[in-house]
Amino acid sequence: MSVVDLLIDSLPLLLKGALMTVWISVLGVVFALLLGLLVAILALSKVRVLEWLSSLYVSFFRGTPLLVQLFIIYFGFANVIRFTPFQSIVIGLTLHFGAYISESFRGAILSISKGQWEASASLGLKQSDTFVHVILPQAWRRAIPSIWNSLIDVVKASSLASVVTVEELTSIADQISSASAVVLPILLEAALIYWALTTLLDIVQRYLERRYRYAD
Amino acid sequence: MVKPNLIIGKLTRSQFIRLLMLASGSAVVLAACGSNSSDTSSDSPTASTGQPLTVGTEGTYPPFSFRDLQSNELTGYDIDIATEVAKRLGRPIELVPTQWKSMLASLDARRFDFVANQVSVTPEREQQYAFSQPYTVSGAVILVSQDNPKNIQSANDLKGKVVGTTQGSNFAEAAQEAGAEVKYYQGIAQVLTDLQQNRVDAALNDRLYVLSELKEANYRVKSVGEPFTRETTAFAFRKDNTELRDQVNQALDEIKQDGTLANISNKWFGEDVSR
Repeated sequence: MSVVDLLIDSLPLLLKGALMTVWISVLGVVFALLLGLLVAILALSKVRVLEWLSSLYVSFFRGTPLLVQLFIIYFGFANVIRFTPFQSIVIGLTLHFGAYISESFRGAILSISKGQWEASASLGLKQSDTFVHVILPQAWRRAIPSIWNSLIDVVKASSLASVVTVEELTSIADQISSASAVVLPILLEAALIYWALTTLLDIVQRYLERRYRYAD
Repeated sequence: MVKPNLIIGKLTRSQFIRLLMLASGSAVVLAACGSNSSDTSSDSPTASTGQPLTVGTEGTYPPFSFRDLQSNELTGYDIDIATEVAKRLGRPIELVPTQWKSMLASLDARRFDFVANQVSVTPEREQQYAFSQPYTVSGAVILVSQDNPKNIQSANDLKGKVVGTTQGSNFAEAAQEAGAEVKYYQGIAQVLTDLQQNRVDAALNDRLYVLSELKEANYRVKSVGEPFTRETTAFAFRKDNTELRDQVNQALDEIKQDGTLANISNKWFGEDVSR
């Protein structure tokens, strides 16, 4: 079989793996965003215990390798809670990138000037309404570029699912390249699929940035 | 004057509770998502008849365990034998593709019932795991690139050389005993790719792999010298699961006696490698 034939023949199988990658990534992205926002709010809560907990969380999950975290989630907890392979990778991605994203949110929220709070207060807005309707929309807009860095990382890091026995794009590519002894072309093919997936995220980012341009 | 970072205190209680519910709702969704994943290893060591026999295997190690690119199914020598054993036990088989790096840890964590992946029987492993009777007899051979710049001809020549092998494989130990510096790779394909570019001086791998695969693949590498270890491979079980191990041994006895095992071996290697 020529390399070109192999690349074509292997495409359906790779795309099946890519579907799993997409599924993992979508859940990872959504949960990491939610967790990141929650942790950012806790970090800014002025409640000492919550601040302390959130900084411990960020310090640990940003400061240790995702691979090690995955091993701990998948094997370390096996006798306590048996996460399925799929759950393990989604939890791992959520905890790991939630830490990065919480810092992006925190920075963006802090970057909104105090005057906004004061102006809202003078108009009689409650602080919670000020946060949800005034501060957060502006912070979100400022946080988009750095959050999208993390989201693209989520897609790429989903390849680590292969070490906890999830069959996704990278592990399928491994299987095809070892069965066919054609390594580099298959890996390049897989890389192009990853690129296509992250390009979709790029497009969403451009769209959001255009949409929020009115605020300039 | 209002502090901008006084947020939680100013979220109303109901808003805070809604946030928490959002988070816990997410966790429930996650739990639901995973429920159909391949986590079916039986918790009880004596799984009853009819439950699937779950088997850990790499799926990246031809011809023992690999994905057939025509049928898209996992197949190979080890998988054929495990499938036949499951048939004799009257149980369906479920293959769990697992990287070698996490294979034994997955076995420990009860992610599957046993490993069918050319696991070599070593004294160290026998302390940790229960092995079936062997179904392969083989040994490690040395591979070098076609031009063999370091002129390696036997195990004695490996001293001080860089030898590539896969993570956690027992070939690494053999290489270290020969005095070589070991470089680890994810899979044999990466080892051979680097070997043909002379980034490592030699590689160690199974004689059977070399027999069956190397001539088909177009790596510019060759084997030198005689096999310098005698190795047997067997299915690996948890120590607390000797009951299943004994059942599997009986099934292996059966397929040895009625010639099925020899047939499987001939199909993949053109000779009986099971004894």
